[in-house]
Amino acid sequence: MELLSHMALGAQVLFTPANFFFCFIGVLMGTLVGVLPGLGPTAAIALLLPSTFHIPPVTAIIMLAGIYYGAMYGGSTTSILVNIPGEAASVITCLDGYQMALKGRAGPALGIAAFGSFIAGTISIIGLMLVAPPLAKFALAFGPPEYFALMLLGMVVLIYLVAGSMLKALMIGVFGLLLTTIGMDSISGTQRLTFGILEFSDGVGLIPAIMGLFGVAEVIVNLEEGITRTVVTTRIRDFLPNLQDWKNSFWPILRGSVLGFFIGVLPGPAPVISAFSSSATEKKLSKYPERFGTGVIEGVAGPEAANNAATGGAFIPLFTLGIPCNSVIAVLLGAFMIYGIQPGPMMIAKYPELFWGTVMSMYLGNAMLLVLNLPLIGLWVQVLKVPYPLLFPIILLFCLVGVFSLNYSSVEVALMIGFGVFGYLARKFHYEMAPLVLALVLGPMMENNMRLSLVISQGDPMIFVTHPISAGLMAATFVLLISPCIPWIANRRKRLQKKVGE
Amino acid sequence: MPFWSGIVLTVMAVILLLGSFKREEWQALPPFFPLADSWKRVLMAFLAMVAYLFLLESLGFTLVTFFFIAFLLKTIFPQKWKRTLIAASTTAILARLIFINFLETQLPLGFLGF
Repeated sequence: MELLSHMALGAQVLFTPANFFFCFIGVLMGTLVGVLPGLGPTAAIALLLPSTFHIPPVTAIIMLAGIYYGAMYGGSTTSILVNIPGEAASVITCLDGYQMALKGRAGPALGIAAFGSFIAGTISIIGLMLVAPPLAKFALAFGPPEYFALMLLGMVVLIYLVAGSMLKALMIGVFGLLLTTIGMDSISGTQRLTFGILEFSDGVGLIPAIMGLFGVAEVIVNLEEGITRTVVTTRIRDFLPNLQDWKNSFWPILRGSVLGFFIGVLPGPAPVISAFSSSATEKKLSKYPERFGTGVIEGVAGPEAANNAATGGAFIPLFTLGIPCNSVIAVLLGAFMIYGIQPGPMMIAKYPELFWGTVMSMYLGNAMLLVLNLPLIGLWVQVLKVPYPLLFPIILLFCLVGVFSLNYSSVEVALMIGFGVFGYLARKFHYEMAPLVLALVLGPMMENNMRLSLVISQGDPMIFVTHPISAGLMAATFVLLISPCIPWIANRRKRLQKKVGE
Repeated sequence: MPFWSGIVLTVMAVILLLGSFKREEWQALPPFFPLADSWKRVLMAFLAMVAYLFLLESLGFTLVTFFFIAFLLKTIFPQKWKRTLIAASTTAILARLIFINFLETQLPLGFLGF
């Protein structure tokens, strides 16, 4: 009963014209950036953030969340029609989706991707509604040592999960933590590493960093080689999958949804990992695994469901613990803080209209995407035909203006260009950016909680292992950190990465 | 904390450096830039952004946006003059309408006042 009254509250918040409108704008923008290769949801949310400053926080969050799950829908369109994943999470959809398109079955592929995403999105929202409030109550027992241990674990899990060298991921994470120590020390009030630059006393801005790392660096990498692409020109008709398609996709969609939801809760690039694991699961369970990659509908339905479900799951750590588990959620956390809302265990109780409004908006947003995506596919194909040489100057312009309009500060724009150079070089040398972003977001919170714990224990670091919850979290962190040194686990990790790489 | 993260980072960098000396795949590394003229495009794009930053206050948003877009269109994947000018002026005018008139962003208007 309580749940129903909460849902009613959410619906009440949602069905104001402004919120309804911005939900629509959010999913529309999300689909657009999902369709455009080279501009992801992280950069898009960061770009649109400054423009939300004069609308109420609930409305802004509804729109920004719409961009996130909308991008997952858009990404699948480009994967199927052009064989270019607009989103990393749609890489796996290319395999079977594009093959289906080549066989003239682009319609059902797009259709099942949209329906599967809708069903999965719905399941994950129900999960979010059921899991988040009790988890938030549990999290109330957390003190500074537990928070520090949890954040440390979150970072280490992400570092463990990223592709490539774990040492490099660890380095980039520590570098991120080092960057967050720039600015005024929150406990003693001394200026650290600011070199007399006034703008740095607030620390390194998250938005310039993200725009540089994800917006500018991405464009520059694309500039090295001109992007050329060909759109499948077959006429797209019959979006409705037939009965056999539904029969084949029913279980993959359900399995993908549950899998995606739980992977979403974990730190890391959840939509990507969940899509890969769903594809692997379906292949294993299938009666004809050898036909995967030749255009079977299960290979589209499962991963598409999984990556959408993961977006819902990813909101759980944010709403209950105030901890983001991937870079998109990290930007959203930054947005919450700009609006003066501290996400965490108290958030659902303190701002019920915000939590339930956002959850209900995700439900509506998913329905909008279904209605929007199928008839508008023609439009998205036109968008894909905009030549990249005309597109990239506009993306760069948006980055520059977006950062400048945050605080009207040239220093921040310079910082963004600097991060662009850094992100470009890091990409060239195969450093992953996700740990850096997570470190930038978590760093200040981690340091605060660590130092508060040490104040409580009067400087005794044993506080992290004498509290039972934090001791458990610390132990898990330790095991993950030393695991690459144990050959048996290191080999398993490598094999897993190879599998994902294929 | 800055001190210790500095130490940890240095230690890891040394490990990585030693590791790369041990490896014997020097020749196998692909060239840094995928195409011969890639470096020019990368450099031009960064230069354009730096120039944008320095000229924004004096020239004003609309004008500097026009030059920025025109420069990028002409230098990176060279377009015809007609296309460049049309695209640059459309973008500059639309950007001005969206950011300054619609979103009311406080962007510098420059010495010409627009």
